[in-house]
Formats: sequence, C-alpha cells, structure tokens
Amino acid sequence: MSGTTAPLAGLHIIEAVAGSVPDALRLAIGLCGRIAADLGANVIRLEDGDCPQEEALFLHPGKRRFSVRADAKPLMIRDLAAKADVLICDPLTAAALPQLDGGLVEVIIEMAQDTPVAGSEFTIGARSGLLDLVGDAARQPLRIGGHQNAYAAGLAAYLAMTSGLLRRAGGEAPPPMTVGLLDVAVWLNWKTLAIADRSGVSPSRNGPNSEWTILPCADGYFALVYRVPEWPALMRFAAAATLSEERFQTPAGRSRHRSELNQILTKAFAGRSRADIRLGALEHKLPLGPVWTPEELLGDPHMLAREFFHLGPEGGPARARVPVRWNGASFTPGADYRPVAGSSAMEFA
Amino acid sequence: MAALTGCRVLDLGIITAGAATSAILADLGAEVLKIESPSYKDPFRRWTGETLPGEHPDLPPFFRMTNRGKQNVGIDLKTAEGRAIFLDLAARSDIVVENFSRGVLHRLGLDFTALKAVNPRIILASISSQGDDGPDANFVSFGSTLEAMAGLAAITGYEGGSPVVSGIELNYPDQVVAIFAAAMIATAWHATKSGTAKGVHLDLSQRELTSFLCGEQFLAPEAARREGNRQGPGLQECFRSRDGHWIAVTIGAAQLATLGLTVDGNPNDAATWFAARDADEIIAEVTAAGAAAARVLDGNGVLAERGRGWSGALAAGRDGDLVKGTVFAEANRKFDPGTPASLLGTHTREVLARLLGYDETKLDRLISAGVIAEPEQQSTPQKKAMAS
Repeated sequence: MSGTTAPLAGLHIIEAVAGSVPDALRLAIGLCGRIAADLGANVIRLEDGDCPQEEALFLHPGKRRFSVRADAKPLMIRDLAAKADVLICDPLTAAALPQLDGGLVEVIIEMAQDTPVAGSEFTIGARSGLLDLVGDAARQPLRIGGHQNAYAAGLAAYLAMTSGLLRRAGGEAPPPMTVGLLDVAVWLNWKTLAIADRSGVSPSRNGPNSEWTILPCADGYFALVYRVPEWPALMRFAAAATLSEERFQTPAGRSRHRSELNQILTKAFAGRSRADIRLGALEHKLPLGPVWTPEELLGDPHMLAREFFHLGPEGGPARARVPVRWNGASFTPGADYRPVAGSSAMEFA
Repeated sequence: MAALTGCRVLDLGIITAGAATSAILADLGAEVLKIESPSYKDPFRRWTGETLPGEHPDLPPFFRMTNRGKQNVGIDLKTAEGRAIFLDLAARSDIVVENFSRGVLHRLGLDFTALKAVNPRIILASISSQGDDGPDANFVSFGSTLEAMAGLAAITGYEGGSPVVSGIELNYPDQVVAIFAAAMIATAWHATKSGTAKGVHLDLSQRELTSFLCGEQFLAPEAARREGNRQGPGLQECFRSRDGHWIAVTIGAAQLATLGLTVDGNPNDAATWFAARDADEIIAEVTAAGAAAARVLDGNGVLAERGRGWSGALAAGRDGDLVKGTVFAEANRKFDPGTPASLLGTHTREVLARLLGYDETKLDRLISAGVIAEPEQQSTPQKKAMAS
C-alpha cells in the first residue's frame, strides 16, 4: 500500500497453534493472521514443526514463523505477550498459558462447544447442515471446495480481534473472545434454519433440479442464477420458443416443471461459449455466472485490472491479495519467511 | 462499553450482503439507522413470500432476521430534498454502508466525494459483486454467480462430475462477505480513532473475497480440480449407515489401520464397513480411534443441537422472534440482538427530530411532499414466535 499508513501498522500479533489440534484450527488461525499481516501488523507465528508448504504460501506471507517445542511455548508466549497486542490461538494453547498481561486481546478458536479440539472441517459441515445442502439428492452430501469452514471462522476471528482492540482503545481490559467453527457455519446457514423452524421442513440438496444450478455450455459450464424479476430477460437471452409457454410464467409453474425447464435451458445454451454467456449476461443484466477455473482466473481481465493476484519472488506462485481496496489502494502480500528456531522470536517482537 | 459505542451508521444495505453487515455493526454497539426509500424498499421485504397468516407482508422472516438491532428512517433518495437530508445525517454520522449496483450512489450524488465534503472523517463501505471498477464491475450477480466466476464452483463437485454451487438456500458468498465487510469497517474505525486514517472508502468485492477464501488453489492452479469430499491423505467421505443415516468421516491413514479399514483412501471399499454398522456405532468407533465422525444433519437436526455444539449463531429477539446471532462470543457479555426489525419509516420522526432538530410542522410537510416517510396506517403485525 503506498501513500498512506497501513491500518494495522504498529500492531503486534502472536499466532500460536498446538501440534495436536485439528488442521481446521491451524487454518483458521492462519487466515486471521494473514489478513492482519497484509494490513500492516507485525505477525509472529509459533508452531510445532513445519506447516505444509502450499498452505504456508497462501496463509503466511509477511509472518515471522518460529518452530517451538510444545513445552517451551507457554513461557515464550508469556514473554512475547508483554510486548504484543493480540494473541490468536487454539483452546489447548490457551489452557496451557500462565497469567498474561490484562491488556492483551485474546482470541481463541475452537471447533465446537462440546468438542473444542476434536472433529474436522468436514464434520463441522455435517453438524451445521451445510453438507446436507450441497450436491445431488440421490447422492452423498458434498462439501464446498477448499477450506470454507476454517476460513469463515478465520474471518470471524479477525472480527473478534478488531472488537477487542476497539474495547481496549476505549479503556477496557478486553475479555477473551471465542470463535467456534460450528457456530460460524450455523450462522452461515441461517436461511435453512429459519425455514426449518417455521415449517418443520428443511431444504435439502437437489442438484441439477435446483432453482440455481450449473448447466453445461459449449466450452464448459455456467451458473444458472435468476430471480422472478430476471425471468423475462432470461427468456429473451435464451431465445427458446418453449420458454414462453404458460406453465413457465410463474415461479410455482417453473418449480413444478424444473427438470424440463433446465433441460430446455441446457439445449438453448449448448452452442454458446462462456465468453458469449458473459457478454449476454452483461447486456441483459442477468446474474448468470461463467464457471472460470483458478488457472483461467490468473489471466482474467477483471482480476488483472484490479491487481488481485500478486506473484511471489521470481515470478510465482500467485498469491491472492486481501480482498479490500482502501481509498483506492490495495495491500501487497508480504514476503515469505521459512520457520526458524524459536529462540530468535524475541528479536521480532 | 461495546466496540462501536458512539459510532453511528447509515445503512443503505439491502437483501443480505449489505444489511447483514450493518446488523453485525449493531452487534458491536453501533447505532444503526437503516435508510430506506419508499420508492425502493429493501427487496428482502418481499422475498419469495414466506410470510404466514397474521404476519405483516413487509416483515417477512428473512428481513426480520437480518434487520434487527436497527432503527428505520424513510427517506426518498430520488428527491433532491431527500438527498440533502441524507447528507445532513451523513455529516452527523461515522459510517455509510451500501451494496447498490455500481454507479447508483454516484448518480444519486451521494458517492464518497460527496460524503467526504460534508464529513471528512466518514467511512464508506461499498460492498459490491465485483468491485468498484474493472471490466465486470457492472455484472449483475448473486452469491452463486460469484461462486462460478471466482473459481469456487470449479473446485466443488463430485469427482469427474460437473461444478456445483451452494445454491439459493445458502448463497455462500453473500454470507461470508458480511463478516469480512464488518471486520474491515471496524478496522477503518480503529484506524480513524487512532489517527492513522481520516476518511476511508472501502471497496469490497464479493468475487474477490470468494477467490481469497480458496486462495491456495491459485498457487498451483493447473492442479485445481473437483475431488468430491476427498481432501488430503486418508479417507474423507459420507457413508450410509446400516440404520440409514449419512455419516461424514475424516480418517487419517494411521487411524484407518486402527479401525481395520485397509481401504487406502478408496471410499468404495469402505462403504461395506459403514453399511454393517448403525450410525451411533460408527461415530463411537471412529472417534474412539481418534478420527472424526458426525451425522449429517438437516436444518431440523441442527436446531435440535442448539446449546450442545453451538449456541450463539441464532438468538431469540426481544419479541421472541428467531434472529441472527453472532459469530463470536465475548466472555462475561450476554449477546443482545437489539430492537426488532421495523416497518419502513418507523423511526423517521424521532431520528430527524433528535439529530437534525426538525419540528413537527417540518416533518409533516416533508411527509406530505413524499420526501420522507413513516409507516402506512396498518394494523399492528402479529408475528409467530419463532424462537425454540
């Protein structure tokens, strides 16, 4: 970021992860610290052993990383905490800590209230209802790609951290903040729960027969997304005569004939490319989404124009920047530091 | 004292992304004024009509869940006088949140330049589908559009099958952006209070956030693919138990051996092991081996688990309504979702009198002219108590 002071400049943050906790906590803590590091904080990560390199390249740019023996970590955190503003950690690390300075903002990320350090991202998906929502009705429930349950909790942890910092700035000793992966996932799934609570019937996965789904096109796929107000524009763009039949003109009619409707739309778009669909969506103000792959996105004109990806040293690999522009400026991910022995951590505090 | 005590938010947010962001700011202690135009109500007020008999048609559950903790001020921003009133409020506020289509705020004469002219310390959070600029800036999008365009759909799906989106019930990008946007606004407020920033425009793109949340996929993008439920070494999959439940398991290589599952990560071979056991047996055996297992719950199952594995995500509103809760808990502080969601213009008179000093004569004139609005005369809504 140029021209202005990074918003978290001068802030000292400690990330600490016990070796025996689920990977999801490692990822959630890492994402919280990644955002803070991009925004200018001095982030120190204390870890037991090495993290897999591919995660490190995304999660740990700009952080100083230290390998620390489990038995030495509590006292090291205590010493670092005397100079730090924030500690982000897991429940096992928090439980092993001696009394810390009252001004420290402490954010603890757990899996669930009844199982703070057990389970996986996948079982959090199961318990939150998110798994039940995705995939085909006749097949097994399906996870959303990547590490969404861990990273959503990482966002919540960052929010908790800023809340603590503001309370401290207001003259309070901030109380410990707790983020649960399961609570966050349930929060994301609020609409399903509202419908279930009111009707007793829970929405469930319906794959290709869903109102919003994926359809094939000439060179890949696109997301079929529309609401009632967009139906006339979708009819015009699809240009299939059968769509103007009476039975498709109401939401209830479209719902009753969903399978047939999606087959007609599949045929209508079969000869068009994703680029055609993108242009048509812009022209007709339709929320249809061409499915771009990660590889394609690295050369996507929109992503390039907004400088979303940053190349590491010697040209690669590409790192996504923190997704905010601040008065028009974006934040460049920091340098990569390999883990070093914990004995030198105090130099960076 | 809460984090945002003393902070006033003008909430132009609609549907989920913007309105939920402001709801989180209310949870952090901000005074949130939802500014709604009588000529353009929040579309969530009429979203696929889930209101039950006896409920007010302008207060359906999705709207109520997302707009608790706010006061509602009716101002028609399509009128010059309405826009002037909005700027007067902006001069006495700290944050503006909006998620209109790109260009709307500029055309209204309420963009960052205009806001900063009346309040140099203002924070404007512009939450959009694709960001403020770039070739796709005018793309109309909902959450699942962005899953497709951000790379998430391409890595979601059964092995060898089509991409998959989270769909209309979840609309994943719309949910996560509210957490992130509120966090960035709180960061800007912190920077403003500490003197490192003065007047901040936050350009928040949901597509970029969605890509960021699968950021490791861009490190080796040629290897990005749909792998079903598999993730790393070991076995991760959903299996049917003997008593007919879907059970999700994550079992590492060493734990597979403990369980006598010599499947080398192949779920087809494992299916018979699971099909020979009831759900409770599977969960007991797998967790005893140090691996993870859980029943796949639907919405009713999740609600039944409230107070066990989770508790804060949903809350009982002051009127007994079920509303959105919070994504983090603070020790020694009970969460309060604040005042229930209200009809358009419920607090117009009170807010304009308190903040701008308008007297009744002026308020009556502005209401008659259609510049500001108060609730139409209707019977008091009777809502079904939703909290369980």
